[in-house]
Amino acid sequence: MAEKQQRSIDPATERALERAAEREIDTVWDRWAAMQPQCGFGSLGVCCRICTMGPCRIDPFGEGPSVGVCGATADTIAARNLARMIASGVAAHSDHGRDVAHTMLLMAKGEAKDYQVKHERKLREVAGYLGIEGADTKDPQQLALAVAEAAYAQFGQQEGELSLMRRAPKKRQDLWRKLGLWPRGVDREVVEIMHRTHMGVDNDYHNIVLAGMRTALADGWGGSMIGTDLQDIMLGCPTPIRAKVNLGVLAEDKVNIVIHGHEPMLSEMIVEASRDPELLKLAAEKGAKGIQLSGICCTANEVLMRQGVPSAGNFLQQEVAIATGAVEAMIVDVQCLMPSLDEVSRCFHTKLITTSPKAKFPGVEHIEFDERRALDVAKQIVRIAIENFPNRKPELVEIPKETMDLVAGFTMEYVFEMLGGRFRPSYRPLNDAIMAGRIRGVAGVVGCCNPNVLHESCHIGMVKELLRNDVLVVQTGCSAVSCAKHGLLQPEAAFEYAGKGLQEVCEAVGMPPVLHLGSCVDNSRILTACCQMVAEGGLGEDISDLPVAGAAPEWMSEKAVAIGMYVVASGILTVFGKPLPVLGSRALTDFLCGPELEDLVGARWAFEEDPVKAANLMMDHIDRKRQALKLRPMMYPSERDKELAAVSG
Amino acid sequence: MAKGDKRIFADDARCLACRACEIACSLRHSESGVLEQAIAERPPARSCVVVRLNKGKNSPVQCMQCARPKCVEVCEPGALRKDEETGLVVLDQSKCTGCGLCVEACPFDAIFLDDDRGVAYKCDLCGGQPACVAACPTGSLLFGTREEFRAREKVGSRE
Repeated sequence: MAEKQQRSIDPATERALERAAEREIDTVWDRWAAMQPQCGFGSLGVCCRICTMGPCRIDPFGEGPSVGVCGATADTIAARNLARMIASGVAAHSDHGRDVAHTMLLMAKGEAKDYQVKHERKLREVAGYLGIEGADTKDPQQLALAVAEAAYAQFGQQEGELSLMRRAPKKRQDLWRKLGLWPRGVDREVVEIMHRTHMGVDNDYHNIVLAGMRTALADGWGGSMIGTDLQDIMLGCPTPIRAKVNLGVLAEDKVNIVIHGHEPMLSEMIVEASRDPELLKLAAEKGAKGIQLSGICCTANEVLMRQGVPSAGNFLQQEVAIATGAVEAMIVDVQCLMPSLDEVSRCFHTKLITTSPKAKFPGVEHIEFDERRALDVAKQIVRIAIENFPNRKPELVEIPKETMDLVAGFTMEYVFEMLGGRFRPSYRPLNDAIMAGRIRGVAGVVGCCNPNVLHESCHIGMVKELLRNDVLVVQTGCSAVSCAKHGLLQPEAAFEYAGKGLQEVCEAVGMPPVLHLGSCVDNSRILTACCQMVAEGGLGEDISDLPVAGAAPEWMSEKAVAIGMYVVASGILTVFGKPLPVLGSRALTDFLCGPELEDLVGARWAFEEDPVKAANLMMDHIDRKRQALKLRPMMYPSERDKELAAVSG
Repeated sequence: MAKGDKRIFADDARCLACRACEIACSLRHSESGVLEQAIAERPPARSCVVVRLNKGKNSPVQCMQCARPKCVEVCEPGALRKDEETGLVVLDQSKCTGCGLCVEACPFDAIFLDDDRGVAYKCDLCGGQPACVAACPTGSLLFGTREEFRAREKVGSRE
């Protein structure tokens, strides 16, 4: 008796879901509906399973137990649960970063011959930040070894300070030191959270949140940043590139290989393998006109940014991509992989192949990726896909026609040239545009997709509201793919969606009003860009002075929680759509979202499900920062500015 | 139901959809009565209460013990009847043919067909001490009279 409800604002996805329903293929949306209603104890964060004196539940209505069997209050329980989510998210990003560092180590030792240093300038810069001697003078191969060793060592460090945080403004560094928030080593912080949240350890929700922030910083300025930086060194630092996005990128007449997961050390090799003349010849022999690569999730973003490989879609589209019937192989590594992929692929000729020993599916073919034989393994996988092409069943194929063009490939480094030009690369023009009131500020709109909201409606709704008010938007992850699908990542979008001030800047530079910064580990690019904005001058002395804000309107994962926490701990307001699972503790919620945290670290959390209201919350914050910096009023006041002026009289 | 008859009432505002009621009901109706064994029983023990989402509210649903039950009306073999004394709708599974007409007739989807056992099943109030009510961690479920239910303090919405 369920009514046919719209599940996505993307017509390609809606149509694909209709087809899946006709074929009785269950998708994440069906399973989400079947799971309703979902347990309120869980959503409120007041279910504790940490020991077997439990499981315990705090009655949020105040009549049943108000403490767990051990005596833990809702505050303690919700804080511990939140801390574990942070630890998991930090672990995921950091393990990714560790894998990249390990690959670089092998490369530098000559044991991974398929990789090389592709960006010497960034190698030397990163060497500098890691405190390596001879960063400017050493031979690149030698330096690569030193950088790899130093980066790898950050993970197992027991004492001291994570090095890359020295890129932050001095005021921010001093604050982190004063509050004891500077991580000592990546792994140590994650381990300590697991210890603190064990039965009978940390009972103080303040203390737990502080530890959570320190651990989160070990992700943003540690694991993720190492991932981004070393990937740029080995795979190339992205520059603006044209590409396409959405399910329509799948080809009727070519071998379709969809890469899904997160680590580009694998996906870049698949790209290279797909260009191999022998394999292309094999594809032709099998009746295909070539090999079409595309991706899902962050690994898609990585090869989109550097190679222009199209993205077939974001997190929620992983099943419907297979259900087009046109995918010869879906190759997965780690994170955001739905276990249902196996069942869906069995409805078609599609081969699901796992490549990471950390992410296996029962009964699914596993071809372990080994950096020492990277290209060989990649070719082996591509060959399997090609040989599967004749098995495609034409009667089952329906590829949605929707695709959209986008420009991706923006980084902290590129902004120098983009706005300052080749001869005088500088952040000055960006800062000037903000100070002059052409650009109100910068918003990072990032994060996942979730069937608990109308798919992509919150990303689009929020970004459009920000653009019409001259806020420059930077994006990563599934959010970027969402907005790309709706045409927001094209330079032309400035004329349709941006306010006059932002439009002028975009026109002058030739850039879109929404800048794709890459994958979710590339959220570290937002941090380093903020450092440059502060360093350039005129916008304050700390990241918390900048007129910027962050948001993840459709978040799903623990990684998103980790990112949100490190963004807050770095001094930037973070708005989530659905709240963190903490509302069962009034005190914890007030601490996270209130003035106390803002006084402590210069930023706080906010939860707002309506994307337009959330955008306005971010802009209120940005306007306050502008006022505190005594910046000029907006050059072209928007409707919102006029209304606010009228109200305040 | 006559005034003074006791049945199960649910305060939707207090229901957090934890489904402790469903587990308790299955357990009470199992062979072993022990959770770790009950989950392995075949055919499985069934829950007579189900938590549904109804117009955006969590709604634990079990037999409403209607005054003029539709299920009784349609039951050919007479397995379902209204007890004059207690006012309860009583199901005698030994007379049930498993035709499923009661399932179609019930306006609340509160009576179910057990495909394994070939009979219908519904809430029997556990003989006077309903397991679901005892298990409910928020006190959403009450076993009492309508007056008692109405007299209970309404809970406001908690943020």
